[in-house]
Amino acid sequence: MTEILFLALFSLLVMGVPVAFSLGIASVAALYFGSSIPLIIVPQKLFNGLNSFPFLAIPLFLLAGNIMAAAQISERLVKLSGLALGRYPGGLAQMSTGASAFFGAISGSAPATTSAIGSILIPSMVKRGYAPAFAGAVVASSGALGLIIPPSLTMVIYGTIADVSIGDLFIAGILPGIVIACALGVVNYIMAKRLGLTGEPVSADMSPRKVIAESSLALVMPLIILGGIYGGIFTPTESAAVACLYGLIVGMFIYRSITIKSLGPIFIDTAISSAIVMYLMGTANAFSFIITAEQVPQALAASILEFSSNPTLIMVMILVLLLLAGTFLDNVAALVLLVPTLGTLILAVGIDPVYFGVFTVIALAVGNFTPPVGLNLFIAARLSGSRMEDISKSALPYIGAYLVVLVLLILFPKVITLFV
Amino acid sequence: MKFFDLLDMFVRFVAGLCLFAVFALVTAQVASRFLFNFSLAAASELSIYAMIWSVFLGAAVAFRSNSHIAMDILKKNSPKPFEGVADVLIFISLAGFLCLIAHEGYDLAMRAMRQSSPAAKIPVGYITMAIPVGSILALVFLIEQKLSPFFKDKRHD
Repeated sequence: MTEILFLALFSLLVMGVPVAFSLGIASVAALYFGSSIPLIIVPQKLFNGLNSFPFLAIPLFLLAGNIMAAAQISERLVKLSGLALGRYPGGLAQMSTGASAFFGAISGSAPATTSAIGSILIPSMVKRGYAPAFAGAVVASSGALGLIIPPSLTMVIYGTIADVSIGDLFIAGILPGIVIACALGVVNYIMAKRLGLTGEPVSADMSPRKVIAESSLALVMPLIILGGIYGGIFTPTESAAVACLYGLIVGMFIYRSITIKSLGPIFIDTAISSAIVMYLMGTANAFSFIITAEQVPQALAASILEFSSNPTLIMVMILVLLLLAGTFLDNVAALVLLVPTLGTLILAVGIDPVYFGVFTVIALAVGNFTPPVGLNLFIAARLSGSRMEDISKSALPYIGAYLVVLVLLILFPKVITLFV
Repeated sequence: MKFFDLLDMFVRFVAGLCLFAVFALVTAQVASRFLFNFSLAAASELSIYAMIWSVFLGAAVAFRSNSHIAMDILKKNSPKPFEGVADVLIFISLAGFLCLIAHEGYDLAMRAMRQSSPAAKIPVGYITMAIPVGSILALVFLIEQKLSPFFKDKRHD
């Protein structure tokens, strides 16, 4: 049964069948040809996979992100980061990283962060003489902070697949998120010195008090989400709903950038983009029912353990696997395909699943700005008018920054779970 | 193609409405716990059910815009005839899967009609019905999406 399952899955994926359906069709094929289990189990697993309250966090965090984007919170955050970072060499690049980090703390998605920040700062960078490909690379690599700095959709998905506390993942993600933002800042500084990019003059309408007051409403958001979860006041799902409510109130009544009319498209677009993710998780549930019944993860873990049981060596191998998977697969697809197996392996060698979750999310985040399928690259290419190949060449030093942080995480695993 | 546009609009609208219900129900549940110190068990159950309908309807319209996540770089970079063959195979496997899920899902829903949900006491079959309904709509949009280039060509002639 396992042979049919994986052979079918591989051929369907390579042919270009959507990942969600590749998982479903491969499961049907394996059950039909390899067992006597009735096929009604497939819709049953699809249904059961979605029938859970923690899962509601996925559509609700997506909704919160779309509400924030519609509320034009990003413009306030760009101004705030301008106040803090604009005067340093390569000021606009530093602002992109800073604003992406702030935006990451209210949104859970990398593409949303890239387009929110990039649509404002890429045109400004190009106007100030930055090479369009460099501007795109800065924004694409900083945009990945959106899914690393909590709240993070990718962490919610990892948490639901691996059955790990989403609250713990969020708390554990804060420090590495800040470290990556700083590492990107260092690369920005070095590149700015090499390319001769100067800081931005402080403009007259940028009185610090006004800028901070305007952005303070946006900055309360992460406090509500993280404080609420950490303090045990909300579950992650509830905190996502509260974030939506807060975003709607701020957007409709204070910033006045969301109207009743614009609510329709926000809800409909979110419904469809979350349906795509959730359907995938549903068919993945049918798929993992089969691989668990056949004990595939255990068998794979055992064969790797025969080779080595050194946690550091295993983490290095997993890092290579995750980077490869992230390069060719969408994050959600990579998670549903890999986490069930890798989760068994890391538990067998005593690696903490919260640590592993944060590590996985960061490693997959790199795939967002590497060709051929990096979504951040597509967005940055469209916004900067340069080719994806050129942007990805300029992004190389930024990829280096992520890799350095990932290697540090392998060497010092305890750092991540310090506060959990 | 006016009919499909209307159907598409309607399904989108219902999917969006279901998502709104998810948001409203979870918010209501939090509010009732804070204000009245009372947990609405039915609200969290109904919010899951609204999400399930939203997922199957949303996944159906996603076929029309071809926005399901696929790894199609290999297909796109292969010679034209190969790409055509792959497209036909993809269509057959998707359509076959959707037919099967619609059929088996209908059986599942009929069985679940006799079972009522723990808190809200509604037949679970009403929720499971999202699977066959969503699959049939997905099939309709998949076929329309595959055939629409031919219709457009005829109109231009």
